[in-house]
Amino acid sequence: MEEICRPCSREDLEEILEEIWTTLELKNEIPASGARIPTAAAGDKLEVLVSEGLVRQQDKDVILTDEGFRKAKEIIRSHRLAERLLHDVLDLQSEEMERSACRYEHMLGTEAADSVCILLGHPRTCPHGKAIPPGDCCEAGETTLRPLVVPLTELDSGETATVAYVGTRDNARLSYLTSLGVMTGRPVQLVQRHPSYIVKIDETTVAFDDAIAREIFVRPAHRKRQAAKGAGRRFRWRNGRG
Amino acid sequence: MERAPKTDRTMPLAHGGEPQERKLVLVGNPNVGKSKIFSMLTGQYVIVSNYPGTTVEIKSGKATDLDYYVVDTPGITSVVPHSEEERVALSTLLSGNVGAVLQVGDAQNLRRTLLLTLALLETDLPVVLDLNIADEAEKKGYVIDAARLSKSLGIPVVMTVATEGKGRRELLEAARRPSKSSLRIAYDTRVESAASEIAAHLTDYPVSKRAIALTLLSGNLPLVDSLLGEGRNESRAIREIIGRTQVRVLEPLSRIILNARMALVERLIRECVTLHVGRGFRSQFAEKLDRFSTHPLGGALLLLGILFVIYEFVGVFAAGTVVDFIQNVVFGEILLPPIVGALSRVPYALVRDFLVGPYGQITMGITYAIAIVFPTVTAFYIVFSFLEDTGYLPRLEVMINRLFSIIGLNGKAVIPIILGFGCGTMAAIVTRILETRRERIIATLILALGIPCAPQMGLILGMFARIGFIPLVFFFVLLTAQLMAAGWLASKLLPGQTTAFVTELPPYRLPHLRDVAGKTAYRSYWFVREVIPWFLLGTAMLFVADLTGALPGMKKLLDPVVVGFLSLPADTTEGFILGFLRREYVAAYFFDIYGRGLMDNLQAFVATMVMTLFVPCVANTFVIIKERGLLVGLAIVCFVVVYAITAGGILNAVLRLLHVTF
Repeated sequence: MEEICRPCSREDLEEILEEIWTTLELKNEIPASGARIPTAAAGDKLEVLVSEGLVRQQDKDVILTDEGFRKAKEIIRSHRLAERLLHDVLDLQSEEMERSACRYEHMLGTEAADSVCILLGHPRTCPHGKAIPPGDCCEAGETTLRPLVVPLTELDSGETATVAYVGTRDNARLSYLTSLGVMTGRPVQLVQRHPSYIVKIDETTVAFDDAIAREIFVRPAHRKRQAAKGAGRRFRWRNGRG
Repeated sequence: MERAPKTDRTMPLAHGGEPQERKLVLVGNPNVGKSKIFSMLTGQYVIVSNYPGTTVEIKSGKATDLDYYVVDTPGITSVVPHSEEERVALSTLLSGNVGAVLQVGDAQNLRRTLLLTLALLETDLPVVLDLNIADEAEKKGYVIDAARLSKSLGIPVVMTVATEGKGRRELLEAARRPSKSSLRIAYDTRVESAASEIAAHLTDYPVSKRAIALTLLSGNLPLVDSLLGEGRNESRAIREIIGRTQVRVLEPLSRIILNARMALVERLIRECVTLHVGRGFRSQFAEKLDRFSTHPLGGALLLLGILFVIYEFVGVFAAGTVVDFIQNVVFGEILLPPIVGALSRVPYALVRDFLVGPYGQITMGITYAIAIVFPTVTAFYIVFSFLEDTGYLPRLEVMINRLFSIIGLNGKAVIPIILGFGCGTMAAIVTRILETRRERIIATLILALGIPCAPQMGLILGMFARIGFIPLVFFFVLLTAQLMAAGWLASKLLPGQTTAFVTELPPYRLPHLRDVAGKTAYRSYWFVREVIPWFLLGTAMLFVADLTGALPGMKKLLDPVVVGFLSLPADTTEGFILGFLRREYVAAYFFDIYGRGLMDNLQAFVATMVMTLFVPCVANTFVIIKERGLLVGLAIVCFVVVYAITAGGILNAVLRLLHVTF
């Protein structure tokens, strides 16, 4: 549908943020929210960046906003983690690694990046020796990989999640569950597990047994919450890095 | 012109001879208020409740202010039938002569509603969308732009609050100008080409062939046979197309089709709905009650509490105090003496005896029906109607699902079983909401074997109000154990597996006094109308049998069983014979002779158990045979009779051996 396809704009913006970050690094500055940005780095997309709330103009200076910093950190983290993964694990050579990493950075979300980070043991630098901004997983020192998508049976009572997919090949059951509102992308809350599973989806409450719960795969929401909190912890990171 | 669809054989319409008038078919998700809208349009009373599956049959009636014949259908979740009653609903759409489809949806659950709307639009039938329960949606902060939605969908969209009659004028207005939508979803090209290939194999239908093709593609393969008839060339060809397409696309076909519809639904929601957060409203009490009633421990406590209230209200109060008063004071002292006095002047003893003798139409038939059964059953209906309207019953499914899995049923079977406590005949029809034939047979067996219907239940409670509460608990534990054993055995004997349990829990709602009273009155009225002729007939039969000497002969014949094996008074034979006519008649009879001191507590206990397990009444037997087929129906009835007497005899022997007294 037309409104979804505003071609490339998100990736374009991410590329610019990446550029801003590396420029700051080159000037031996520590990228942070409120950092002054050379206008050249923003290029002709300055207006878009402002309207998206990623940078703001203050007198003649262009300043990175909280949101802009968070986004930039995310994209750099994804890019450099992808490089590490491709280099260390998949043993790709530098040119191919670079090309793939540029694509991966746009595809890896915060959650997936954290998973890669845990898998690689929280690496601190990329293959080129540049710093990888730590994520929440690094601070928490997590060592076990949590799957991003779990069956509903793995949730605790009261936990919220997003429906990832309904893993059944029974067409009638799939139609039925969909018509009850169990659809990909819908937020669900698990109300209770015993004596039957009860979930809330929008204004609908649905009850079912194990057999159905095992077929509904969800993305638990708590990881997203942690990531959101991470934006407010940037000072700790700065100190820790020095 | 009406063309009979090919599906008549396998998707029978619940009712036949209906006028050739244009039909307005009400369809929608379960529990959105279709029946209430039906009442609004036709002025006819229909039972409405707060749980999915209240309507399992098709009801129709002339609209008061529209040039339509309105047809109410059971709730459907999608256009792919998921159970017998959904099949019944969908067959109405295929039955031809459909002037318009009125989709009733829950305004709070717009996603689900619209998902069904999109599928309905594909039938090329004119559609009107009614978003009902608009008041609750508004309270929760949803603002729906109906005009914009109407424009996007290309059909009239109205909002109503059917329980209060709001939006009736707009609804009538919209129903007068239904329109065919030009909205068309373009599916994956492979799905589209499969759909047109299938369409080419289909003969004439009153709805678009593409819609049928898409339904077939979204369903499981057996759907093809049930829709087109087994073993036909065309259905073989269609199965082949579906199989071939399925291999090519990897993902389940239904997911591809649903995803395309969902994407459009999301766009429509973005355009037309805003949620005013902060206005979000939920009753704190309802929320807490909800948690409590499905909590493993809380739910059990609540259930016990409800059962105790029913015992006190129906058993102790209605069947005790009220029946005593009506039977002894109203009938015994006020009504009967003058009638008996007046009749004593009639010279013919035969006429006198026929009316006021031991098997008299007035002294036995009318007295039983009005003085004993009517107050009890009305009390039961009050409690039952109240519970139905709160939304508690589906919560009970959640509690009982695991227990039911032992007997090869899932939580959904709670609804027909619970309805069996109202009327076994109705309950046997409601087993349609169950997914498989296996589940329907097991549920029917349990219902026929040991679920006492409302009058029976009331009178059992009335008898135990005198025997004691602990014996009552013992009685039900024993009964439940037998039902579980029978169900378990049946589930082992019948091939197949228990189906997975999924159900929707409607929100708790405070029942309107008006609705509960209306429903109780309606049910009691029908009960009286239906039951009095049977009671009079039964009494007349006993009268004739007594007169001709057949009754004493029969008593003598059954003496070894009733007196010898069951240790019951010889008179109870009459009761069991009456039991074939109406279940409540035998209950009233036992209640009466127990009240007169002709049975001791132990005998009453055994008699009640045999009576509860004993045959379903004539009406119930007919329905069982109609729904399950002659063979299964007769098998169930025969099993029940033999089992009831055997179990009663064993119970009697064991109780006496252990010197149990109550």
